[in-house]
Amino acid sequence: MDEDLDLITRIETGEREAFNELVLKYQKPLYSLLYRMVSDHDDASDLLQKTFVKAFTGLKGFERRSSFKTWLYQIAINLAKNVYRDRSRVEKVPIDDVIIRRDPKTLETLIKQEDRLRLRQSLAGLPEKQRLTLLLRVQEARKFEEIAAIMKCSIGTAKANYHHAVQKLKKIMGENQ
Amino acid sequence: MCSNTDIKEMLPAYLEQRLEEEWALQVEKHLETCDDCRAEIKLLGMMISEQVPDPGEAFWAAMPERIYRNVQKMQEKKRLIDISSLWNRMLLPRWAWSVTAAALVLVVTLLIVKPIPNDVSRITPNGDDAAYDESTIMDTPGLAELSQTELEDVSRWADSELASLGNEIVDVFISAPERDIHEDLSDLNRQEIERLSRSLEELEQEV
Repeated sequence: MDEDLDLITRIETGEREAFNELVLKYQKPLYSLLYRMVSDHDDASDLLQKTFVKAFTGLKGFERRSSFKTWLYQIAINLAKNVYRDRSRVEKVPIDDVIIRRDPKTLETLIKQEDRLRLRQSLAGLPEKQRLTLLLRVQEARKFEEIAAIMKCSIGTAKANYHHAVQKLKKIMGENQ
Repeated sequence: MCSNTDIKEMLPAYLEQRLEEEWALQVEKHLETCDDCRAEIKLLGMMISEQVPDPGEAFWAAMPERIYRNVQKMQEKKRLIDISSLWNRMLLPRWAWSVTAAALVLVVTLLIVKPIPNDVSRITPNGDDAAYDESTIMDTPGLAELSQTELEDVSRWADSELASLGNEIVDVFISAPERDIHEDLSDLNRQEIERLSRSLEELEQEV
């Protein structure tokens, strides 16, 4: 974290190398988070740029109470929420088309693909906070302390959101089977 | 449904093999007997195995430059907005011009009401255009004949006369408040602007 603050101080004095270093450090994990949230490369790439631009143009607003990483994640999640909401209105592709397009080779692959699609649809059906908490905990392997900081809630709330999300997901997946 | 939240919270870390041996053994022992947690770990396993496609090295290598350009663009945009808002702050608002105009009217009225000093009366017309005839001009002494005090009085009288010019401008402001002040000022020649400036200075001193 101190390393990030050092980089930020150097960026504020106009050091281009520090700027590149900070982008290179966080671009991949941020892209991964954003891709999981919006499930589309173009949107994730666009959001990645917007996140960094918003962070760098608003560095004066970064109070350094939390880590730069947490602050960056907060910006990314807030930007992605809007895209996700818009995308929820996008026309859904029929399940058969998806399976055929993905070139299934065996029956097992077909079942796996179907499971994955069902999982994505089930995740999309969760309330936003629960879905984000689950994503950060399971797919991004974040600790509850970090999730609480990113989501601006207590650790207890983060844990409750996680448990509710898992229960709902199990229920939705069970109903779909 | 299993209510062992400690175990449940450890499941993601167990799946990614980030748990210490002691805790991992506890989770395994629990999984042997708990259907609910087995179902949960299968679900979490599916989520973890969801792959994020790698856009490729070229994408990652170009990203810092792309972001830097966008940041520069945004900062330039922000600077332009700052300059424009600073300019707007420098311009007096309409109400300020109205107050200035009203104050000017008040000063001019006071100057008109105030009687002309005797010494000035001797060398200037009565202020009434009707009385301004040729004989008066003939009787008027030349500037060279005036004393220093008389010259000062003449100067004061001339200033008060010029105030009427300011009065006219004020009238224009009041009668057409929607007009742009800059347009009005641009209509004046240099001498008129200097006179107006002097009148405003006097007003400032009096206020």
